Amino acid sequence: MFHRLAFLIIFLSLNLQAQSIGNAQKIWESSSGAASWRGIVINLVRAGYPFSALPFMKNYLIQNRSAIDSELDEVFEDLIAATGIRPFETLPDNVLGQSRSSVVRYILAKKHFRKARWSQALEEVQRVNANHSIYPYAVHLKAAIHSIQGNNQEARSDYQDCVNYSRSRSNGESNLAKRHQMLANRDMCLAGLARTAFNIKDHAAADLLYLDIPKSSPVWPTILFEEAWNSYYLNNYNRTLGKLVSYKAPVFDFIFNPEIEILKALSYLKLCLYNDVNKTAEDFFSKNMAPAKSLRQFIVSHGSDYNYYYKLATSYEQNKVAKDLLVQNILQSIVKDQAWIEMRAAYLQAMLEFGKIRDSGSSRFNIALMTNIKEVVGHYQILLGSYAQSQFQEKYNQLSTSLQDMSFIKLEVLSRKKQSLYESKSLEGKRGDIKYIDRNEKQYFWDFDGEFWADELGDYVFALGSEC
Amino acid sequence: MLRYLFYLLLLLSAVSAFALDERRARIIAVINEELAEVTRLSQQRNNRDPELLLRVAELHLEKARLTREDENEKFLELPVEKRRTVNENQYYAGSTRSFQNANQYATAVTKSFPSYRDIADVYYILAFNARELKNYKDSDKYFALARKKAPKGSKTEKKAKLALADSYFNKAKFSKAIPLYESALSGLNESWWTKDAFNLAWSYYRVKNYSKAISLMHEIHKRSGDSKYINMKYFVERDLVSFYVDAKRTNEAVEWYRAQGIDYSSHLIKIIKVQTAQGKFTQAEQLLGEAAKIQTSPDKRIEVLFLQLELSDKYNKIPSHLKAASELTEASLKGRLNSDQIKMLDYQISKKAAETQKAAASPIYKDVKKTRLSRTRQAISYFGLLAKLKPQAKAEPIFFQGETSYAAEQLSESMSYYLRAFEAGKNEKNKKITSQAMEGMLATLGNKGLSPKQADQFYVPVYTAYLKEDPNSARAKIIRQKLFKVYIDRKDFKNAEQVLSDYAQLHPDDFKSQEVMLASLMDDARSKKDFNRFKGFIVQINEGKYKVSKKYGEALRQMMTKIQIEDAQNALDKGDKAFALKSYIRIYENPESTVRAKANAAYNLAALYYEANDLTESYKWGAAALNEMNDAEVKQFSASFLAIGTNLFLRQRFQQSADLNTRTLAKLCKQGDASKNTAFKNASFLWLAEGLIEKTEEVINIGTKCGIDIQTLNEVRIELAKEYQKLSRWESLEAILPPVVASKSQAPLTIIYLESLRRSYAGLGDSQRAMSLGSQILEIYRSAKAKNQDIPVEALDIIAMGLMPKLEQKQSQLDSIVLNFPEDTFNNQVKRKLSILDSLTGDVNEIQKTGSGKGIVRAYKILINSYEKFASELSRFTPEGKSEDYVTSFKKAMSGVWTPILQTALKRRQEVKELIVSNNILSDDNNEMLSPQGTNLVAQFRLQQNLVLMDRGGAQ
Repeated sequence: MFHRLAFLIIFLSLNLQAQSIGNAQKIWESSSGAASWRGIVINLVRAGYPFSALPFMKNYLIQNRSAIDSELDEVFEDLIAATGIRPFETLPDNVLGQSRSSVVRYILAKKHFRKARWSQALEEVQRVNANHSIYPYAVHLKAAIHSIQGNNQEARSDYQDCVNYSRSRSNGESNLAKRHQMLANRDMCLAGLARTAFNIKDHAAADLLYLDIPKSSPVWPTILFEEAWNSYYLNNYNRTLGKLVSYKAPVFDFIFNPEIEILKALSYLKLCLYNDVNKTAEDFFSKNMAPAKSLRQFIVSHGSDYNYYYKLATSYEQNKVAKDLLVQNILQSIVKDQAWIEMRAAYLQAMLEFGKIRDSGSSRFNIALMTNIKEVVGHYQILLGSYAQSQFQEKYNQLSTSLQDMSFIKLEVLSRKKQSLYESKSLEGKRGDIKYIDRNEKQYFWDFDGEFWADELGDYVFALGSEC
Repeated sequence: MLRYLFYLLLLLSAVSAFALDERRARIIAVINEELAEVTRLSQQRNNRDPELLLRVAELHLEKARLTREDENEKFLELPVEKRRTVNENQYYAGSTRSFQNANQYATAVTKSFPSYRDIADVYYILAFNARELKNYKDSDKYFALARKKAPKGSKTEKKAKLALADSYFNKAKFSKAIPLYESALSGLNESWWTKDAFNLAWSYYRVKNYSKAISLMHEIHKRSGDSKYINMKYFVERDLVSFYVDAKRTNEAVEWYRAQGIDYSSHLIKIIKVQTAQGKFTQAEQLLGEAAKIQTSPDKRIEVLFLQLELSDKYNKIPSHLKAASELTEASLKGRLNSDQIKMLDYQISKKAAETQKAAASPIYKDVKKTRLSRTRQAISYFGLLAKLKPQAKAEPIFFQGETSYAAEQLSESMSYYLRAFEAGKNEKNKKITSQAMEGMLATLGNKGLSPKQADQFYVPVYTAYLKEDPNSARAKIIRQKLFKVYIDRKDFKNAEQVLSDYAQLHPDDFKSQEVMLASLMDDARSKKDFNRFKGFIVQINEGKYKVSKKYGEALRQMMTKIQIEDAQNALDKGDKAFALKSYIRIYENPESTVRAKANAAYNLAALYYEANDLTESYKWGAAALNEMNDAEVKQFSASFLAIGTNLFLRQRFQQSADLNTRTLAKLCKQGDASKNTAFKNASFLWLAEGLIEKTEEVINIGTKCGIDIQTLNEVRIELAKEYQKLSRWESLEAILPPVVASKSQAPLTIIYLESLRRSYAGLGDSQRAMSLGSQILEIYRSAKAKNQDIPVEALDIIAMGLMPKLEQKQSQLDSIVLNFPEDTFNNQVKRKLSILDSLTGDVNEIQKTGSGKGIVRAYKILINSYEKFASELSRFTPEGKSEDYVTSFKKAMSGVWTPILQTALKRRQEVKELIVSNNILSDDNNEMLSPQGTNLVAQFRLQQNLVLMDRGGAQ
């Protein structure tokens, strides 16, 4: 019985989609202009052609200065769920600003946010309707702006709202993609709450708040690092080291964060384990110094050649081959990044959509749609390439900063060593027991290959004695 | 930044205390690492970060300072001469490079980042750096810039001011330094305040603003009590006294120091010195007493004592001077005085020693004995202190102690001092003092003021010491004789003997003195019956250690032997043989006995045992005596040895007898003594009788070398040849015969042995050698025969048997002629046979001439048999084919032929029978010749029971 019912639903859905694409074609053939674009967008999105609809929607937003009606708004939401907001961020501010649609305001706010225009971003985001489905994201953005502006109380309140809204909206969301996005938003806001506590140096509270983020969350791997920092500020260096060691687990191979090693070295420094600091530093330098220089040349030589970066990343996705380990690590972190995954998924979806249209005939409407998708696909390629390029730039900056930080840490160790020499003290006085070293060595060089248990990740705690 | 910089400087000041190069090296290694790291960091930031550039500059500066420390130490380790000539820049190249690097980076900051917020600090570094490089002009310039660029009231400004003030201070521009110090210190309240204020106080003092100087010193002293400040109390307490003294406020100074509750003795000392210089002796003495009471450290005590020494010297208070000098000397021995103090003390003591000695010897006190004695003792004490003070040159002061004592007529004491001075002088290799001390000692010993008892205890040490220094002069010779006498008088014969030994070595030609000395020692040995010692002297005389006249030496040797054997001799004379035996054995066994005594003892023991018929012992001691005695002595007693040997032979101790004879022979070898031949023969025959051929051969060899006559030697050789023959030792036999063969008289004796050899060669198939030997035998025989020499019977038999084949050949020839007819043939055959018989008869005659019984009997036997056989053949012959008559006639005629032949045969048989009997011929053929013609008697052997077969020696 249920099988029959399911089949019937699918059958009905197909029929409806066929009906919508037909309507869209009719509208396209019968008229032109903003009015027609609205109908085309609605029908195309409903027919499952969001990427074909994307240029029409952008045109509509450019042409139409009034508020988006509820029907279109609902469709727009579905469209964004498929394409993401990035394609709309390229629209001029004045175009986006003229719209009263919550989605558009959110897009505009995000655009201001990216350009560090905090007050404008806040202004736009505050205009988003609380009942709108985009609201949990908007309130997340608002919380972030408050946090950046140092308004911790407001930030905490907004993050809490974000958590609540996201949780409740996710419960009622039947679209799996949307539901996942909503849950991820909830987790990010949970992290925001913890970060806010961190900002006001309430590390004990932050410690508990971080625990609210489930390990299954896609944001957890990056949050683990923040937890490590929080533990550091709680002077719990063994816990910091335990959390950092989790990054050795193979499942975290996509995490590219040179600061992990910095924090590790700092923790050893706090424990006065100078040999370990030196070892960490030397390992870090030997691993990254030369590749960093090479990476810099690489980035300079390819400038803003997004196409190159697009091909580089997608090629890596397929072949898993890179020029060196550092580039491989960065590429791995890019292709495993949520933003990349979303854009890449959209791009693939667009390609599928293109194929579907191509296979359905060569009417003028189909040709027009295919032209649209080509434009979208091209745009996605630029977005992906641009994203990859920016990631390379960012990772290089991180690495460069970390190399400098590591130098400062090393200088600190040298300074202490020198001071102890001046004062005729021994820096290595307390660490003479070979057994002790052996035990630590085991802990230090724990090999996670084949011995990793997902539920233990992030819960490791070292047992090193301070030698201060 | 400034905090770091000052911290750095603070640490650098701590570095100066480093003794360990290693630690410094480690710090520099760390700095190098830091430099590498900061340089890397700066490059990462494209060298656009002034903080990092400044950091590099600081690190170079820090490294430069440490390197400079190290270089300084190494430079100062160089010998002064080398230090003068060496290129100093080379030694400081490392630090200079680092200073330049620091400059380079700091200058780069000032040029590239003139508005850098910490630019004043950079100038401060440049200033500091310039100062290190002794570029004071630049240093002042940069300090001024640092002061100018630094925010008002900032630490950098104050420190720059202080640095500039220090610069002026160092240049003695105190007026310029003062306002800077005042300005910098006014608002400053940190730990260094006391240190900088101390410079300010000194600046006040230098511009004679004593009031401010003293006042500020009080403030520094006060603040130094607070742990917040660097403690400058020590320096304030050290210097304040000078401030007070120059301010002429000494009373205030004493009060202030008393109020501090510290040991201010050193400060008092300064005041005392001022007062002494001002002539305030009484006050100075009082303060000195106070200083002595309050001082707490040995160093201060020393200072006080020196002051006391100086004061006592000025006041000429010798007891207190001596007391202070004594205590200071002890302190010096404990290493508490520095070199200047030691010099001062030496000067003071030397000076006083000379003064007091002069006074002691001065005629002024000649009649003031008490004072003279006091001065003497003081002088001796001072010299004693000098000796202690300069242990490496104590000989001279000790000598002066002796001189002082001598001058004061304290002779016994002076002797002791002279002796000590002498020993010390030797150790110090100070010949002058050694010589002077010895002269002093000899003079003292010769001084009548020295009692004999006192003198006696010095003779030996003085003479011994003298002789060590001057062993071989004429004076030494006399002193050695004196020393010998001292020892003899003391009955210290051991040392006396040592003196003699040395004397003999140094004066070998002085026989007379040596004999006198020896006589003293040997008399002692003889009186104590210490023969070993006595003998020792003789041994030493014999070995040439002591030179004595030949006559004296011989007398001593005889005396020794006499001493040794006289007891035994006496016992023997008294008939106490048992005691004599024991005595002789003791003499013999005593390793100390002379050879002659031992020989004498052994001979007498052999004689005594011979008399007692103890064969074993007489042999043993005879052998021993022969061993000990020289050849002449053996010759003297050869009869005794032969007698003992004969006795042994008679008692069948053949080997012992042979051995004794052999030994006697060996000893008599070179002597012309008749007993030699006897000993030779006895020995060789006895060894031969014992079957010891090698021993016999050995004796023959000895005999050959010892001139035994050839006749005797050949007799033994023939005996030995007999033994060789018996043992079939043909080669030995052949070897021993030639000397005998060569003998004109004894050659026939060899025929038997030559024949044995001949047969041996023949048996071996060497017919040529056999023939040669045969010819030799015949030659000997003929020669002997010609000379009518005795030839042994066995030799004659051999010769005769040698002729026998010729007879046998003729007999065969005779037998081969068979009689037969016709008549003429028969007649010829008979003629031939008769002719052969005639020839045979001639041969028999020839054999008969040899005189060999066996040969004669055998020859007769052949002749008789031939006759008888021919006679028988004729009688039995009957011609065939002839008439009976003819036969009868023939037989008849033949009867006339064969009958006389047979009669001749019978006649011959009778002849031989007579020969056998008359000549006692024993021959195998006797049986045939003695039995009646035609009978054959068979030989019979009868074995008698209980017969004993013996060899030549009589052994079974």
